[in-house]
Amino acid sequence: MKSETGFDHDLYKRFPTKGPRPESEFDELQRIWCKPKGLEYLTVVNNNYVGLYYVGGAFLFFLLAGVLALIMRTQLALPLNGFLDQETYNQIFTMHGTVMMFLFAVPAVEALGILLLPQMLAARDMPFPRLSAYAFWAYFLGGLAFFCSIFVGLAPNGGWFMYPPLTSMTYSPGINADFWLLGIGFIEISAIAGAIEIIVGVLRTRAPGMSLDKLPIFAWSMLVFAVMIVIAFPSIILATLLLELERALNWPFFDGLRGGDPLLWQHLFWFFGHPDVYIIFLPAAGMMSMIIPAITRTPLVGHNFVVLAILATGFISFGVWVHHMFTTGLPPLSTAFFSAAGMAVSVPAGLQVFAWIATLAAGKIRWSVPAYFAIGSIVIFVMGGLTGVMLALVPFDWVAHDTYFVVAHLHYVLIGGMVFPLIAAFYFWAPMMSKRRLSERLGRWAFWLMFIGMHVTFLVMHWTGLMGMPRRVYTYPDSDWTLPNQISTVGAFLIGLGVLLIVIDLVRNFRFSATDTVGNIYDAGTLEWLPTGLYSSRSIPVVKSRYPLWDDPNLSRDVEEGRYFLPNSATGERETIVTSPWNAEPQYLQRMPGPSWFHLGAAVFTAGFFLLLTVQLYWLSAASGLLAIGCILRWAWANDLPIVHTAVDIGAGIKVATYAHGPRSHGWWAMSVLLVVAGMIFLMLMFSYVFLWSRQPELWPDARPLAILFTSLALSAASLASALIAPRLYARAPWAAALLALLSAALLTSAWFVDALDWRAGGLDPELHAHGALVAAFLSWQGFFVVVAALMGLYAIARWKAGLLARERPATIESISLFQAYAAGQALVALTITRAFVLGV
Amino acid sequence: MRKWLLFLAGPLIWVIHFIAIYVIASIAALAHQTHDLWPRMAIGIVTAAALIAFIAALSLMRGDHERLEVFKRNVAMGGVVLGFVAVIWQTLPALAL
Repeated sequence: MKSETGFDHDLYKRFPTKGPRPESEFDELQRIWCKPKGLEYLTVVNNNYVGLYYVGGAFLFFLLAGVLALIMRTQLALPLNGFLDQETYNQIFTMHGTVMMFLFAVPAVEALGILLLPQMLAARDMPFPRLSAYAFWAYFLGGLAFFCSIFVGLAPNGGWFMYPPLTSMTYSPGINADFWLLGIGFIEISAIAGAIEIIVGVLRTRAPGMSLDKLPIFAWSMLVFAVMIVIAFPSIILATLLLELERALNWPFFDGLRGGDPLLWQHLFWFFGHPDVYIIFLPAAGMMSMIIPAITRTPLVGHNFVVLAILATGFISFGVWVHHMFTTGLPPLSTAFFSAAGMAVSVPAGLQVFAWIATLAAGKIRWSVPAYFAIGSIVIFVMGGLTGVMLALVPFDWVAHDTYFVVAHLHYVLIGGMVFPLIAAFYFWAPMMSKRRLSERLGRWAFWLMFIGMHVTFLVMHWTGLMGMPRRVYTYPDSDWTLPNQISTVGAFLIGLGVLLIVIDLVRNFRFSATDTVGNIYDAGTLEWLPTGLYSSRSIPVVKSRYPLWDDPNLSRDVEEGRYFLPNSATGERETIVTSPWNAEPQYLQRMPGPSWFHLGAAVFTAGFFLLLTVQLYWLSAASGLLAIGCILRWAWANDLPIVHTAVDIGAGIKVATYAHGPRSHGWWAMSVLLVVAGMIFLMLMFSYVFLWSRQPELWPDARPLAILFTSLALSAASLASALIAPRLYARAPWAAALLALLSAALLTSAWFVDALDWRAGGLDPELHAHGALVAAFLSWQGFFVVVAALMGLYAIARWKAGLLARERPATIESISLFQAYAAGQALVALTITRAFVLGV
Repeated sequence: MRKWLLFLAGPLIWVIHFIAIYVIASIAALAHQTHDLWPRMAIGIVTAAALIAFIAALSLMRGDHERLEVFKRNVAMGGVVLGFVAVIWQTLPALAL
């Protein structure tokens, strides 16, 4: 194989090593990756614990949202029922959708990624363990507080998609809508943090030799899932920001009377919302592609096609957002593309289904609970997919839009495409981390109750919809709708009973352990089934095939005896091997952080910031925000510390460095992905600007003086130059690089002030017209970057003063430079866009 | 970066084509000219360019018989074929409108 990094592949022949390993190295490994005690369970960062917390948290929200569904079905069981009043029903259906989508579905699959990926890739942990823990705590604490709003009648009530003008201040004057808009803010942050972790983890911390052709399908799907989050979530972040700004400050982005347009919300929301279905589906499909080969003891048929399908789904799903807007009066020319894309996206999804069916046919199914749920999932998902193609047909969509037909379709897709695979995954992977296996008897009962209940509830709902019953109504007259509604309610309780059995099974039988587990009872072939501890596998194997445990019967023993990479702790700290993205060649050893209170504090105060803002306790919210920033800075301070060992032996005499910087380093990759997120938000803001301009271009104001534009552009360009020069100067004079970082921030701040003061002098009023609101939004967004860039500049100076900027460790200054260069580039584009349109270009 | 671009060439060309035809359709709608000839001609030209780009990408996909290279080539070629079909699939109805 051609080397990607210059690594000699013949070195792999040294493994498995011969001869006894010292007993002390295993003891040291256990000491370093020790089990938490007492309060350490809160500060723990190990993926086994954080992943389990995450899965548990997501499952809790699934149960809570499920209870809300049962309450809704109880209300709809009888015509003109008085079990719930209209307002409570509105809050409950909004919370059901919101909690299922934002607090269960996306976090659940992200959680399984964090739980399974390190073991599956034979990494010691995810590359940023504190980031995973931060993501979990921000999500869990914020999510619980958000959910509690329903107990005091303050839950959002505008549907999970929160369309304005219904959710504008005029029609939703309370703080219910704000709970949604600000409440999911921390969930978005959490999802993006997890996505960064997963992208870097999959591409950079695989076991040596695990080139992309040998990457397990679950890892492929998690990689595409994470990239899709990075592309799609910025749109909803921007949408929520704009609507909250409209509600709080009366900036009219969605007010048609003042140059705004409610359709902008729909574009932004569905650019996130439709890919979100695939964001949820792809990891679940990845789980299916792992479970089905194991239960049939047959390699996945059409592995390469499945990879292609995952990639194609990731792309095409972004061309389907208008699928939800066919009734809004868009021109037929546009709707034709989206209709075609809506149908086309079923092709890669179908490709995966055919691969599963072929694998089931090629092997011999060993019936077990995961097998039942996996096969049940195929049946349900295919039915949901077919009605999806029906809804992609514009004329049919006009008929079925906003009826129960759509409710039936989306539940078939989400339950078949995500819930059943997830439960299959619970039963399949539980033996990997539990002392006892889950009950086959209870699991099969749960399956049949859920499978039958699913069809009883939702199959009939197609007809309810075609009979004309609209969604989101709290009651209905005694009519033809009564019987199908009663049947659906019976089915919903059957599903509830099935889920209850799973809960009972988990309580009775799931006993977490990292070492003393049931093990590989399904005889699967991938690395997560190696004997593990909190350090993941004892040593990190060289991967030679897609199913290494099937192809090398001695692998588990050799790994357990420490005969592969990193049988010890080479540096005396937590560490993992960073490998190259294509061939997975060892590049360097990453030193990893241990437990800490700072990421926990940052999470608590981040959630506090958003929630206190929602209940309008502004000063407390600001204090919470400042504390969150303080915790994050303190957390960052512990990174990039002096190196004791510059190069270490990672096994069989192979030496690698313990430090890397620039595009080779995992930190650089993480910052780059973060900047893609920022860039996407900015791109969506530019789309919003052009979109609203296109509504009423004649009402946009006159030009501002060009001299000011050129001054701001010059200052921004100087800031960009300083940011780019700083890392180049670092090797000679770290102090000068730190000063340049501060200078870059100062120039950027000046550019912002010049621009903002000029708009102010021109009488810009964000409340008067959407143009003013958009310019103010650009200024606010850029202002946020100015503040962060300034903080980074000061941080660089503080590190220099503390003696932490050493010539051989440029990673910190490189990250700061990357961020500041992006911020300056963004300023240049924002200045040009906001003023070019005013000039009438 | 070049490796990734070639690996994802099919879906990437699809994305560029999709954005282009969406922009053309939006401009036509803005000018109230969705039923005129020029939007359809513009979409036709962009589509022809996309199809040529697919063929060009396909011609660049060479490599040895190593397992990783074969995998990359197979997935990349599959992406090109899928993208080719998707572009035709979503453009033809619009041109026929």
